[in-house]
Amino acid sequence: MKTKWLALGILSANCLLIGQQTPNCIPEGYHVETIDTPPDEYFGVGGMEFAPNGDLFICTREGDVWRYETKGREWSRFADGLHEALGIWIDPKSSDVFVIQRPEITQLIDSDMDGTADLYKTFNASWGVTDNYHEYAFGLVRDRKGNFYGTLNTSLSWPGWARSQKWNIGRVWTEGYPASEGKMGRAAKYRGWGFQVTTDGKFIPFASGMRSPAGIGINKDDELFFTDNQGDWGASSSLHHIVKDRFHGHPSSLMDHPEFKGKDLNKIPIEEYEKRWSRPAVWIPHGELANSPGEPIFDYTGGKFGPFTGQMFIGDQSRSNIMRVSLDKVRGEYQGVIFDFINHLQTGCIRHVFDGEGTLWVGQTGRGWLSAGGKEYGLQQVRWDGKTLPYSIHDVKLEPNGFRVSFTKPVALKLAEDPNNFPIEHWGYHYHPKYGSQKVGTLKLIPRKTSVSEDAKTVLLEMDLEKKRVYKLNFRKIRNRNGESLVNHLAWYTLNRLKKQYD
Amino acid sequence: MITLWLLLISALLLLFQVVGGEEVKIGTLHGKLRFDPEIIVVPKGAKINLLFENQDEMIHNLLIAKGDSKHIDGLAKKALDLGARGMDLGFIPEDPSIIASIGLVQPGETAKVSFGAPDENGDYPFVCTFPGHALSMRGIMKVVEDPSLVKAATSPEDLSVKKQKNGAIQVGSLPRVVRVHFAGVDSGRSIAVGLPSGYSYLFDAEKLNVRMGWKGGFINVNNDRRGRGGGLCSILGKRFASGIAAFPIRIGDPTKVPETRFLGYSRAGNPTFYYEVDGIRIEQSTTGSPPGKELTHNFKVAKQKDDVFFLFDPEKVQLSSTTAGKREKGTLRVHAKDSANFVVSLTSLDKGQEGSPEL
Repeated sequence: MKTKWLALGILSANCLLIGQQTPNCIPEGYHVETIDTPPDEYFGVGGMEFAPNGDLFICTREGDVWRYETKGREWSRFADGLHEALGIWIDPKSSDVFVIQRPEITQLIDSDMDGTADLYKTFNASWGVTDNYHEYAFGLVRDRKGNFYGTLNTSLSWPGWARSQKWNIGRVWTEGYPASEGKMGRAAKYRGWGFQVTTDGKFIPFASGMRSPAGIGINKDDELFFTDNQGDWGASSSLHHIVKDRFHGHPSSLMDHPEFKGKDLNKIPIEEYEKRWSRPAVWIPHGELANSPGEPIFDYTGGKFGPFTGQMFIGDQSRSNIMRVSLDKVRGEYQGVIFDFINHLQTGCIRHVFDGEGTLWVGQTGRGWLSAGGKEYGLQQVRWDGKTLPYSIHDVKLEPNGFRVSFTKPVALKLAEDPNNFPIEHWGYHYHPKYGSQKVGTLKLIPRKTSVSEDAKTVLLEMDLEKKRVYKLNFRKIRNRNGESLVNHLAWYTLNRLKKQYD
Repeated sequence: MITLWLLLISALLLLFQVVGGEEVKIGTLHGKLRFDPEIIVVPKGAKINLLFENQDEMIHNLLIAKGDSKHIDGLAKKALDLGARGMDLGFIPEDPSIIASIGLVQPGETAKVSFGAPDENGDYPFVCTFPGHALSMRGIMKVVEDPSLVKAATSPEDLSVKKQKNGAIQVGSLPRVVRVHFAGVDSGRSIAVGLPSGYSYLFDAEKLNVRMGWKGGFINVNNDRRGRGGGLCSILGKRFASGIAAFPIRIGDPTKVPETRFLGYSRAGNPTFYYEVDGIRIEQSTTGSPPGKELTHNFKVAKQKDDVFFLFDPEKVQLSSTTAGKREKGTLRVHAKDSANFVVSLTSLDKGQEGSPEL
């Protein structure tokens, strides 16, 4: 009984609102600082990147590019008049600045060296864009060979939502569903595609099936990932691994796919799309964890940002939280686990960048969607103090016979040895033209057996597993040896593929 | 004798104004299209001597009226509707709600008006109704029993938030170049250019033509770039036809729609657009000229051997002047040797329309 009270006490300290600037839930050792944005300027962040000299460049929805001198904490405007600049990339050697805006990728050149760009050079404008407000262009990452990558939002095409009939092109609902189910469409070329632009400026449609792909990220091996929002054909928010020629689920983009040329996309049976579909590497359960995820970013700070080196962080534009992902390569394909990390910041988190000190900068925009925190836009930093090890789930990896869960600190043996302390729920999702999907076939289970490693930092949860399911693992009852509970005690593992004994 | 009398009367009047009323001053902020202060407080029923100091580099007027902000929108519209008479009337419309007004005040000048404050406590808005200014140049005259009790209210903070939200973009001493979507302009890639002269135009980076010109204020991006967005940007001025259809520059053959590529623009000085027409590099810059419906386009064509054609719509514009070429109906044919740098002025034949209607 005493232990329980102690635990509750710690829980309250971690999870109750302490001050306006302090998130409800934040792992021990992490701190949030709010950066003042330029006074009287709308500042819906669209992209963030550090220049080689340490200046932070931020492009905004309003069309500005701001430079922040981090030491002197001074803002200056580098460019303006862009059309919703939602991504930026700066050459780490030459300091060349590239932004992606609705109509094009633009290189911003300060030819007279006065500190502001005077030449707005079109680098690539090969995709179609109309005045449909959903036709965002997101980016911008570049691989080591010098190829750029970005993602193109579908058009808002359903006349019930759109202002004009002219965009009512490429909506897909398929037979047996009412036509109103297809909400997004393709009013111009390559909407719903991820693209590559080669060093010589050639545009290559790279992967299809995207809906509202608000964030793209790249790892150190040049592997690409993007996040998508729940919607028509999208059961829930999701994280996907982009591979050339992959189809990520939303069929409108197939209008520009050579194999579908001249075909009526609504006459193609849904099963055919499903066969082609590469499932998300990680489902981000809508409502539980995120509603509109932003940019995924990998922690390559070498431990400066805490014990999660190599893992991925994703902010959400609606719930204003930061999530943490650990990918698990199973039989050649990525799947993995997602946790909440900080919940929540001052407003919607959409763009993220690490500085050289290992501080995570979080670019924010609320965009009128009533993001948690309530601010309209902003910029915050998340910093680890460099010494305090938070008590946290570190990772969840699939095993042939269950999940291997690791913690940052040894767990209390007595609790960890009882399978009843690890309740699990799992479910599937529909693949259909409807807006989002309910959880399908939700089942509850208790692991058959738990085995705790010698150092008490790893627990194997044994159970029978099913593929194409999301497993929600609940560690609310688990404590470490000091009786501390976990700040974020839930883990959602997307199981697309089962692991075999000798994988 | 009469002069003396007049002098005496004015001196008396001046004296009366100085000693016989409440002194209030309203200024303008330089380059911001804002009043300063944006809230004034006056006693109920008092005689008010208002000094209007225009520190801005643009012309402004000032009128105080009874009514809400919607009513002020209506007054601004009425001022615009004065059209050609507007300049003479100082863009002050006739309306019974107007309590006091000062017509056009040149940059750096001052003007005065005396009037009786309303007998009823309340908020009375003031506004500049010079075309394009009314959206951001607004304030409140608070009428109260005792102004000394209403100190905090003179801070314009609340209004500054409103200003920020209203999304109007103004042109100061440097041109503005802003990507936009306007109602009625079916282009995903159009670029609004606002020049310090008060002229603006829309360049279509897809069809490579100037789609329209306008004079007055520049643009408002509120519906597109605030909140959820989804709306269109609007024009804060009086627009007129450019008379230029898609792909107006043709190399060699005026009937062939060319292969084109947009290359970007320079903002060093007057904005210059770069593009290719059938592989030939073109530079284009545009300016406006009085009396209000004329745009002048300067084209620089990279060296090549064919004649260059510039297409326009003679039903919408009159080709008022050109530095090179031979005019045919709707076409200007410029010899290859003259095409390196030529200028075309087009005067709109339409009467001009206010802003851009929302679809």
